[in-house]
Amino acid sequence: MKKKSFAIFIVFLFIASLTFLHQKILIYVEAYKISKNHRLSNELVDKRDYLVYNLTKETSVQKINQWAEKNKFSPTEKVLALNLRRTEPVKPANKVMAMFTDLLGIPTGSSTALAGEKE
Amino acid sequence: MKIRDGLRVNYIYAFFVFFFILLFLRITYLQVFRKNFFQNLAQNQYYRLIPLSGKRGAIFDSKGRTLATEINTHSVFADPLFVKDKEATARILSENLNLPKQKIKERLMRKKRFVWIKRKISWSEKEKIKALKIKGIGFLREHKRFYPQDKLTSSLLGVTDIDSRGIDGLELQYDSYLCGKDGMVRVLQDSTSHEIILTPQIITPQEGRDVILTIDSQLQYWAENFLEETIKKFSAKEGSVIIMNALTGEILVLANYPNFNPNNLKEFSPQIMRDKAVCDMFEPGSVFKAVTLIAAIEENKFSDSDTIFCENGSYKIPGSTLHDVHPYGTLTFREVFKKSSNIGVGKIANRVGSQKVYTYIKKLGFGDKTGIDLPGEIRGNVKPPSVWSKTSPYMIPIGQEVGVSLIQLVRAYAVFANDGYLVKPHVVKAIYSQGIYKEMPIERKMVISTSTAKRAKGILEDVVKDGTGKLADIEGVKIGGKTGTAQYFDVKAGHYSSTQYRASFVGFISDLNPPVVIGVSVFEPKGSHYGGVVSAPLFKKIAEKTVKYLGGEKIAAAFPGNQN
Repeated sequence: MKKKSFAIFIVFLFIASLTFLHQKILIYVEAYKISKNHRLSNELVDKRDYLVYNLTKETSVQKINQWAEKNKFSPTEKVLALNLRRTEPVKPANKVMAMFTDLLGIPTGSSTALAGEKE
Repeated sequence: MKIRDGLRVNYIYAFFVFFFILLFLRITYLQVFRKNFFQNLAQNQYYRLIPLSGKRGAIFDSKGRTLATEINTHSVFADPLFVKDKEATARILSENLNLPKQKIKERLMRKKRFVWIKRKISWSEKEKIKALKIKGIGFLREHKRFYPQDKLTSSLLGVTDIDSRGIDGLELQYDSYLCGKDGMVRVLQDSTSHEIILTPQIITPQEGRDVILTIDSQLQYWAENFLEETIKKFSAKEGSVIIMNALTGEILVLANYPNFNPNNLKEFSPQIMRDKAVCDMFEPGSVFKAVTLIAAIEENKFSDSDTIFCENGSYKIPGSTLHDVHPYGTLTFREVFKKSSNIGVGKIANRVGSQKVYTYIKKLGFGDKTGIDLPGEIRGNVKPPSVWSKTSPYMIPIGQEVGVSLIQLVRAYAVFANDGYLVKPHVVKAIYSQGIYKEMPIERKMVISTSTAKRAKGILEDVVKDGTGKLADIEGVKIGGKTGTAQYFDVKAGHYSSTQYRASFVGFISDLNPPVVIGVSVFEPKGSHYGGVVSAPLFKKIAEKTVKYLGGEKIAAAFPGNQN
């Protein structure tokens, strides 16, 4: 009886030790995986940084302006008319037409020609 | 015989017992009493602390364009103990890293376990060396400061050292905000030197705060281009431009030429890096006459139609003689400033009184730092009347015997445009960190009455419309300002130079809402040295772009009677 109990105890101890060892190895395997992923993620971050570096460099204010100047493109300039006195809007001579334009909110031109200045 | 054998067995038994007791004692000593020592020894061998650097904050302009940021990069190091063929390794590294072979070899010969080969290399360089799999050569991840706009705003931004600490400009001024805090991670190192994150005891690194500037890169680009054009046209030595919001003191542009590329510091001398608009002092010349204008109006000494006899171009004063560029007879108070008569202004200042003139010089902020958030600002040189020379009461009002900086002039001219307030110029709009956006406060104080500011503004608008600043005029836009031509005082020779001049123009665009002040200064122009010829056209070019760029809805709101 005593021998049987001792054998069971030994088997139990062996299984427990094996489980413990297995868990320990699993932890190390996971740690290796995490470390590998960490390395990979760092490499991707580095690659992204170098891409951002190139992108930012190529889209700098200087580069955009140089391109705009070369292609005669002015994206930021607004053409203005300054210090012009307010003038009465030009109303259509026909009363019915005038009523229609008022009702539908159709913009009418002012007597000061700003066509050249409005772009 | 049996007794002797038994005794021998007992001896052997006793010997083993004694041996095991000794062994047990030794083990107990090592495991119990020296436990900590050996535990530390093992941990030092297996565990390693890796520093994690806290990323430095970025710098953005007012529209969110990146002016300075940090990118991850790699630095190459060597463990000379593991590098077997030092000659061949030095040759390979030299070819791939563009470094002298001898320099690398000398480092590899050192009796150290860690030597830098090259810091902050490019991605392609790293990949090339990594592919070579040289034993004893490794890489460390580091951050690198990167300025995407290259030369743009360089003298304002300043630079950082190799360890990403600010050493000049905004990088230095706001270093405590921008600088991140380093962290640490503990990793296990296996027999092949692979790092395993097993029990990470991390001190999380803290990122630095982002700084948002008041600067507009687009305006800055135009200003820098026009400044460079002018400097090349007149073969000048250097120049500066400042554009400031007159209501708030926000600096929209701060440009200096020559400038430098902060990404490639080795090519430039420290002299070029100086922010001349803030750190350089010069005699302002006629732009300083605005102080006398304000003093005379605020003290109610002259009406616009009062006349001053300008001595036909030459006027003897105590200790010297005042001259006008063009001889004038009698001019009205308004005309004196319009035509920039030295004699007229000298006489006006004399009637106002030296003490009063000095009071207004100080009220407009000359002789004191403006408080701009940039390092190295110069105070200027303004002497109190008690130490003035015989010529000073006439010379100081026309901008001689006095030292100012361009930022001081721009701040003083903002008083005309904002109805009498002295603002504190600043380049940082806000500081951003982890979702918290903290705006910097706007400081200003009233120094002259609104009516004085408005009257003086009208006179300065006349200077541009019909006076010495005509070349700065833009059709349909209200602009006021004053030209300035100052001889350079040669400190070594002890007298004014006959060849070195500073041509300036400081003015404001009243039509914009908010109004802006533009200060332009060009040093040592050749061909012509007059502020009205060199700086006024430069002002005009910049003002035209500024009006078009900042105008639009704002300008319409300021003039509800207008249409656009």
